[in-house]
Amino acid sequence: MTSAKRQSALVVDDDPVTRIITRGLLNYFGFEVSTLNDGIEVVNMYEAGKGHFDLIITDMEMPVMNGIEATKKLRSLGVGCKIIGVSSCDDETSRRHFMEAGLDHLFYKPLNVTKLQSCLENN
Amino acid sequence: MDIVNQLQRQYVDFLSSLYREGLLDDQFLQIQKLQDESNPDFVNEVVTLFFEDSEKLLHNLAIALSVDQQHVDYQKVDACVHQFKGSSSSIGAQRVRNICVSFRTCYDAKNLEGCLRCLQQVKDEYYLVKNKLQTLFRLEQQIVAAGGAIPIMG
Repeated sequence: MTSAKRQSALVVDDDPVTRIITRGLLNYFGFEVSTLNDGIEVVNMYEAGKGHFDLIITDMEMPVMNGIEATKKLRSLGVGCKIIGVSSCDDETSRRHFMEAGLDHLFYKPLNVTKLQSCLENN
Repeated sequence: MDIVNQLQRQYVDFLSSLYREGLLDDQFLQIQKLQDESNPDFVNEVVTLFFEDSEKLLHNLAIALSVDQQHVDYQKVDACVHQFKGSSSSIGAQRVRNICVSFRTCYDAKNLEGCLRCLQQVKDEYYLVKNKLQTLFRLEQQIVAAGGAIPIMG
């Protein structure tokens, strides 16, 4: 993915290893990447008017505020960017709950480079 | 060039064995592909963080499971194992990840003996993959020092 102006992405994950890998992945795709550790931090950022990302990739299981609650809150704040969830729960019920929260896409861990690239290119 | 070719062959054979033995899976290959001129130390950075994070988690698990049956904080165990499963999965440390899956079965059942067994197994697998990755990085350093390029696996 190349673009004259780099798109911005936010990675939200409490696991530092996954955070750095996802950041590396998005850098590879040409994004300018920021990271946060928990859903509460991204909600606080947007509530303070400081969130302006083209893409958010969020872990669905986080200790303080999980991805479902964070996504619902962001959508209620009018956040319209693409939000992609990543989860280790691969049952259909969980998937339905995650998507109902307002996600655009859901991937199961570990995040697959090819599938993510395809998702981003197909918009 | 002979020494470079020899080292490169050694590297490919060694890395192939890690995949064959199930120590690493395709996720590690994907991480290697993210390393380029703009991010030349990416794999090393990720793996170093994995080592630091894993050792903290193992330490916390040992503490959480060092009490008698009645006082084990299984939520704490769950949190540690969940994170370990996530990070090992993200880096491609397949056998570590698989032990974490078994570990969950034990703490869900509040089986302290099973948990202690899983803790030992996950430690064994973690230190095995750590040693192998450190050997891999030493081979990379030798290749670069000899003037060669690190082979890219397909």
